[in-house]
Amino acid sequence: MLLQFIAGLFATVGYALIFNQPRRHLLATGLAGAAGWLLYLFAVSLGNGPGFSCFLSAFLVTILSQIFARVLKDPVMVFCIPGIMPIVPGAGMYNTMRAFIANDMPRALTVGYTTISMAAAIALGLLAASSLVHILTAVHRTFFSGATSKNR
Amino acid sequence: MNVDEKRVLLLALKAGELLLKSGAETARVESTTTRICRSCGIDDADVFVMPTGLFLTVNSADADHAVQSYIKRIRGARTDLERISQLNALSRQLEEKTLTLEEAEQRVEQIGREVQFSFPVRLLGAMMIASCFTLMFDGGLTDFLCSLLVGALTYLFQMKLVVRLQLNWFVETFLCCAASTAMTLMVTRLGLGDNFDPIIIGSLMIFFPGVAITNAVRDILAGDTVSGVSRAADAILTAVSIAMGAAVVLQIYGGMGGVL
Repeated sequence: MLLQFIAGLFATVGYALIFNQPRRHLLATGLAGAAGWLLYLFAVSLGNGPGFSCFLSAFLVTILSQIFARVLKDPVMVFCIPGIMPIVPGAGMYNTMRAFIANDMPRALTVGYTTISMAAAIALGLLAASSLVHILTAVHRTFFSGATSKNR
Repeated sequence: MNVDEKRVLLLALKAGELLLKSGAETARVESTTTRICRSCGIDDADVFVMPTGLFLTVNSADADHAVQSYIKRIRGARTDLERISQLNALSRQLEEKTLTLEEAEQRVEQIGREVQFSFPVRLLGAMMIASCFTLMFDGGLTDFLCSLLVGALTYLFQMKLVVRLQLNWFVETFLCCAASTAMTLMVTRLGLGDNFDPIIIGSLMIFFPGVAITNAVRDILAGDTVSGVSRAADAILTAVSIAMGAAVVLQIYGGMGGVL
């Protein structure tokens, strides 16, 4: 578990390095990525499908990125892009390709289907978390902030 | 249109171009360029951004002046989060008037020239990606060490050789993934690594289109459907070229009698 956490952390920081992330954010992003990867492993170990686990994990990473973006005052995607990389289904894609080469069509289709559902789940997780934050800030702006009241 | 207005527009255009090339999402490019225009006194600026180009139109407040339009074609993006962060900060400073136009012009020039991490640091990043993914996909200690080597060689191959050929992104990805798979097979053939699967996955992960996936979702969510769909297509095509690169080499290896 600890090894997986460290691997997730360093993998995320690796992406942060090749994507030229601002260096003051390296640790925060690494933690978000590692947390996402651990949540994915945990969800899978509870017997959830890889798609749903990816959804949960992407959701967590996006929420963390949104929090970091507000606290550290930088665009969300600066944190989000390296953060979701550990759960991107690279292995699934590779295994699909291997099955295709081995002419094992049933396996290629099942693994390929899982891979696509994982990618879609990541997109959905991003979407759901961003929308949630969007709704919360809109509600906050509309009902709990005096600044806009004069516009109504 | 007076000289100052033109300078502001060129500044906004340059900032928008850099943002788009660095992999910012459509809504951010649009909001940053209009913020730069507005903070310098041009209220009626409209910008339309697509992943491959940027259109900026200004209707001068002065009735005598014609409408001005600029179009910028964008080619070849490289993700650079530091630039996005810096340009975002710059547009906010302009808005708060803590930065003059000259300073802003110089800053944008400087941001366009600088690369935050030197090549060795990014090389280290690529090695970290390759080796950590090998561990995450059940690679052993020897595989871990092999993937450090293969990851470094792959990134060197990409940045020092393939990039200079200025091919399109898909061909570049294809070549790099093919090279990385071939190197992995050689290394395992020499007996340095136990399984080649985790090592190959590790070094292929360097090329995964994480930026395109994230931006596609963010664009579609922001209502920029055209950009979002084209970025999604970009992500899928990149994934296909990664798989093809590895597949071709594995197929040849199998054909030459290698054990897959």
